[in-house]
Amino acid sequence: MRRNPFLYLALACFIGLIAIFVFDGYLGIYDTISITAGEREQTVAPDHWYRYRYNPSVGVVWGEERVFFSYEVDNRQFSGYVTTIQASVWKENEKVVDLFSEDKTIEPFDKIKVEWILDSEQLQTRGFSEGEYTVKIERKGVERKIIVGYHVPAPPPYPEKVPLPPPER
Amino acid sequence: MEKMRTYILYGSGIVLCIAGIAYLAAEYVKYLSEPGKLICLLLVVGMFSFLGKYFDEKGW
Repeated sequence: MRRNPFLYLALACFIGLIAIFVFDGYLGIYDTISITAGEREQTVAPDHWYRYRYNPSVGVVWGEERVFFSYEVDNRQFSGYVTTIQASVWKENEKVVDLFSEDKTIEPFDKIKVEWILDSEQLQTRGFSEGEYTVKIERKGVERKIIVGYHVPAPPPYPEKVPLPPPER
Repeated sequence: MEKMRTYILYGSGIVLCIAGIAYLAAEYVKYLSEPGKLICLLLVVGMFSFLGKYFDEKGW
Protein backbone atom coordinates (compact mmCIF):
# COMPACT_ATOMS: atom_id res chain seq x y z
CA MET A 1 0.00 0.00 0.00
CA ARG A 2 2.77 2.42 1.01
CA ARG A 3 4.94 1.49 -1.95
CA ASN A 4 2.30 2.05 -4.65
CA PRO A 5 -0.10 4.77 -3.46
CA PHE A 6 -0.79 6.04 -6.99
CA LEU A 7 -1.68 2.59 -8.25
CA TYR A 8 -4.25 2.21 -5.48
CA LEU A 9 -5.62 5.68 -6.15
CA ALA A 10 -6.04 4.76 -9.83
CA LEU A 11 -7.81 1.57 -8.76
CA ALA A 12 -10.08 3.60 -6.45
CA CYS A 13 -11.00 5.86 -9.40
CA PHE A 14 -11.83 2.79 -11.51
CA ILE A 15 -14.05 1.36 -8.76
CA GLY A 16 -15.69 4.81 -8.47
CA LEU A 17 -16.44 4.72 -12.21
CA ILE A 18 -18.15 1.35 -11.95
CA ALA A 19 -20.07 2.56 -8.87
CA ILE A 20 -21.29 5.63 -10.79
CA PHE A 21 -22.51 3.43 -13.66
CA VAL A 22 -24.52 1.27 -11.25
CA PHE A 23 -25.77 4.04 -8.95
CA ASP A 24 -26.64 6.53 -11.70
CA GLY A 25 -28.42 3.81 -13.66
CA TYR A 26 -30.56 3.00 -10.62
CA LEU A 27 -31.54 6.57 -9.78
CA GLY A 28 -34.28 8.35 -11.71
CA ILE A 29 -37.99 8.15 -12.48
CA TYR A 30 -39.06 4.90 -14.10
CA ASP A 31 -42.47 4.02 -15.48
CA THR A 32 -43.91 0.65 -16.40
CA ILE A 33 -47.08 0.17 -18.43
CA SER A 34 -49.11 -3.04 -18.25
CA ILE A 35 -51.81 -3.61 -20.84
CA THR A 36 -54.35 -6.42 -20.73
CA ALA A 37 -56.73 -7.06 -23.61
CA GLY A 38 -58.75 -10.24 -23.48
CA GLU A 39 -56.41 -12.84 -22.03
CA ARG A 40 -53.31 -11.22 -23.49
CA GLU A 41 -51.11 -9.33 -21.09
CA GLN A 42 -48.26 -7.10 -22.17
CA THR A 43 -45.76 -5.15 -20.11
CA VAL A 44 -43.79 -2.20 -21.43
CA ALA A 45 -40.62 -1.97 -19.35
CA PRO A 46 -39.02 1.43 -18.59
CA ASP A 47 -36.05 0.76 -20.90
CA HIS A 48 -38.31 0.20 -23.93
CA TRP A 49 -38.32 3.96 -24.62
CA TYR A 50 -34.51 4.14 -24.63
CA ARG A 51 -33.91 1.00 -26.67
CA TYR A 52 -36.59 1.12 -29.36
CA ARG A 53 -38.05 3.86 -31.53
CA TYR A 54 -41.45 2.28 -32.12
CA ASN A 55 -44.52 2.66 -29.93
CA PRO A 56 -45.88 -0.56 -28.43
CA SER A 57 -49.18 -1.75 -29.87
CA VAL A 58 -52.05 -3.92 -28.78
CA GLY A 59 -54.76 -5.58 -30.88
CA VAL A 60 -58.33 -5.61 -29.57
CA VAL A 61 -61.65 -6.95 -30.88
CA TRP A 62 -64.02 -4.04 -31.52
CA GLY A 63 -67.13 -4.11 -29.33
CA GLU A 64 -66.10 -7.25 -27.48
CA GLU A 65 -62.93 -6.62 -25.52
CA ARG A 66 -61.91 -3.92 -23.11
CA VAL A 67 -58.31 -2.76 -22.58
CA PHE A 68 -57.09 -2.58 -18.99
CA PHE A 69 -54.18 -0.20 -18.44
CA SER A 70 -51.97 -0.11 -15.40
CA TYR A 71 -49.32 2.61 -15.10
CA GLU A 72 -46.66 2.39 -12.42
CA VAL A 73 -44.29 5.26 -11.64
CA ASP A 74 -41.22 4.46 -9.56
CA ASN A 75 -39.51 7.45 -7.93
CA ARG A 76 -35.88 6.47 -7.29
CA GLN A 77 -34.79 9.95 -6.22
CA PHE A 78 -33.87 11.57 -2.93
CA SER A 79 -36.67 14.11 -3.35
CA GLY A 80 -40.42 13.72 -3.78
CA TYR A 81 -41.96 13.73 -7.24
CA VAL A 82 -45.13 15.71 -7.89
CA THR A 83 -46.87 15.25 -11.22
CA THR A 84 -50.20 15.06 -12.96
CA ILE A 85 -50.76 11.74 -14.69
CA GLN A 86 -53.02 12.00 -17.71
CA ALA A 87 -54.22 9.40 -20.18
CA SER A 88 -56.24 10.16 -23.29
CA VAL A 89 -57.22 8.59 -26.60
CA TRP A 90 -56.19 10.30 -29.85
CA LYS A 91 -57.12 9.71 -33.46
CA GLU A 92 -55.29 11.48 -36.29
CA ASN A 93 -53.80 14.05 -33.93
CA GLU A 94 -57.15 14.97 -32.38
CA LYS A 95 -58.17 14.12 -28.88
CA VAL A 96 -61.10 11.71 -28.75
CA VAL A 97 -61.63 11.12 -25.05
CA ASP A 98 -59.90 11.61 -21.68
CA LEU A 99 -59.40 8.37 -19.83
CA PHE A 100 -57.65 9.41 -16.65
CA SER A 101 -56.29 12.51 -14.95
CA GLU A 102 -55.03 12.77 -11.39
CA ASP A 103 -52.42 14.73 -9.41
CA LYS A 104 -49.96 12.46 -7.65
CA THR A 105 -47.17 12.94 -5.13
CA ILE A 106 -44.64 10.15 -4.90
CA GLU A 107 -42.37 9.97 -1.88
CA PRO A 108 -38.60 9.36 -2.39
CA PHE A 109 -37.88 5.72 -3.27
CA ASP A 110 -41.56 4.92 -3.44
CA LYS A 111 -43.86 3.97 -6.29
CA ILE A 112 -47.50 4.42 -7.23
CA LYS A 113 -49.79 2.58 -9.59
CA VAL A 114 -52.84 3.97 -11.37
CA GLU A 115 -55.31 2.07 -13.52
CA TRP A 116 -57.95 2.85 -16.12
CA ILE A 117 -60.01 1.01 -18.71
CA LEU A 118 -60.56 1.75 -22.39
CA ASP A 119 -63.87 0.46 -23.68
CA SER A 120 -64.79 0.63 -27.37
CA GLU A 121 -68.22 1.91 -26.26
CA GLN A 122 -66.54 5.18 -25.25
CA LEU A 123 -65.45 5.56 -28.87
CA GLN A 124 -68.68 4.27 -30.39
CA THR A 125 -70.75 6.88 -28.55
CA ARG A 126 -68.57 9.59 -30.12
CA GLY A 127 -69.16 8.22 -33.60
CA PHE A 128 -65.85 6.42 -34.07
CA SER A 129 -65.43 2.95 -35.50
CA GLU A 130 -62.72 0.28 -35.60
CA GLY A 131 -59.19 1.25 -36.60
CA GLU A 132 -56.05 2.43 -34.87
CA TYR A 133 -56.06 4.81 -31.92
CA THR A 134 -53.25 6.28 -29.86
CA VAL A 135 -53.40 6.22 -26.09
CA LYS A 136 -51.21 9.03 -24.79
CA ILE A 137 -49.93 8.81 -21.23
CA GLU A 138 -48.43 12.02 -19.92
CA ARG A 139 -46.61 13.03 -16.78
CA LYS A 140 -44.27 15.94 -16.05
CA GLY A 141 -42.34 16.38 -19.30
CA VAL A 142 -42.75 12.77 -20.42
CA GLU A 143 -45.17 11.40 -23.00
CA ARG A 144 -45.72 7.71 -23.77
CA LYS A 145 -47.77 6.44 -26.69
CA ILE A 146 -49.51 3.09 -27.04
CA ILE A 147 -51.20 2.13 -30.30
CA VAL A 148 -54.51 0.36 -29.82
CA GLY A 149 -55.70 -1.39 -32.97
CA TYR A 150 -59.40 -2.26 -32.99
CA HIS A 151 -60.53 -4.87 -35.50
CA VAL A 152 -63.71 -6.74 -36.27
CA PRO A 153 -63.13 -10.49 -36.44
CA ALA A 154 -63.49 -11.66 -40.05
CA PRO A 155 -66.32 -14.13 -40.71
CA PRO A 156 -65.17 -17.67 -41.54
CA PRO A 157 -64.47 -18.13 -45.26
CA TYR A 158 -66.79 -21.13 -45.50
CA PRO A 159 -70.42 -21.63 -44.44
CA GLU A 160 -70.56 -22.69 -40.84
CA LYS A 161 -73.13 -25.42 -41.52
CA VAL A 162 -73.21 -27.19 -44.83
CA PRO A 163 -76.56 -28.94 -45.43
CA LEU A 164 -76.13 -32.63 -45.98
CA PRO A 165 -77.11 -34.00 -49.39
CA PRO A 166 -80.37 -35.99 -49.44
CA PRO A 167 -79.82 -39.69 -48.94
CA GLU A 168 -79.68 -41.71 -52.15
CA ARG A 169 -82.44 -44.23 -52.75
CA MET B 1 9.73 -12.92 -38.61
CA GLU B 2 8.27 -14.98 -35.73
CA LYS B 3 8.66 -11.99 -33.40
CA MET B 4 6.96 -9.70 -35.90
CA ARG B 5 3.95 -12.03 -36.14
CA THR B 6 3.65 -12.12 -32.35
CA TYR B 7 3.76 -8.32 -32.16
CA ILE B 8 1.03 -8.02 -34.83
CA LEU B 9 -1.17 -10.55 -33.00
CA TYR B 10 -0.68 -8.86 -29.61
CA GLY B 11 -1.19 -5.44 -31.19
CA SER B 12 -4.46 -6.37 -32.90
CA GLY B 13 -5.67 -8.11 -29.71
CA ILE B 14 -4.99 -5.00 -27.64
CA VAL B 15 -6.66 -2.73 -30.23
CA LEU B 16 -9.77 -4.97 -30.31
CA CYS B 17 -9.91 -5.03 -26.49
CA ILE B 18 -9.70 -1.24 -26.28
CA ALA B 19 -12.32 -0.85 -29.04
CA GLY B 20 -14.67 -3.27 -27.22
CA ILE B 21 -14.28 -1.48 -23.88
CA ALA B 22 -14.77 1.92 -25.55
CA TYR B 23 -17.94 0.67 -27.26
CA LEU B 24 -19.38 -0.72 -24.00
CA ALA B 25 -18.47 2.47 -22.13
CA ALA B 26 -20.15 4.60 -24.83
CA GLU B 27 -23.30 2.47 -24.57
CA TYR B 28 -23.40 2.90 -20.78
CA VAL B 29 -22.62 6.62 -20.90
CA LYS B 30 -25.63 7.19 -23.19
CA TYR B 31 -27.99 6.44 -20.31
CA LEU B 32 -26.11 8.40 -17.61
CA SER B 33 -27.41 11.69 -16.24
CA GLU B 34 -25.43 14.90 -16.85
CA PRO B 35 -23.91 15.06 -13.31
CA GLY B 36 -23.09 11.33 -13.64
CA LYS B 37 -21.22 11.99 -16.90
CA LEU B 38 -19.24 14.84 -15.27
CA ILE B 39 -18.22 12.69 -12.28
CA CYS B 40 -17.21 9.89 -14.68
CA LEU B 41 -15.06 12.29 -16.67
CA LEU B 42 -13.32 13.50 -13.50
CA LEU B 43 -12.74 9.93 -12.34
CA VAL B 44 -11.30 8.92 -15.74
CA VAL B 45 -8.94 11.91 -15.68
CA GLY B 46 -7.96 11.04 -12.10
CA MET B 47 -7.43 7.37 -12.97
CA PHE B 48 -5.12 8.08 -15.90
CA SER B 49 -3.24 10.75 -13.95
CA PHE B 50 -2.58 8.39 -11.05
CA LEU B 51 -1.61 5.59 -13.44
CA GLY B 52 0.78 7.96 -15.21
CA LYS B 53 2.28 9.01 -11.89
CA TYR B 54 2.65 5.35 -10.85
CA PHE B 55 4.52 4.44 -14.04
CA ASP B 56 6.56 7.62 -13.76
CA GLU B 57 7.68 6.56 -10.26
CA LYS B 58 8.53 3.12 -11.58
CA GLY B 59 10.88 4.79 -14.03
CA TRP B 60 9.02 3.86 -17.26
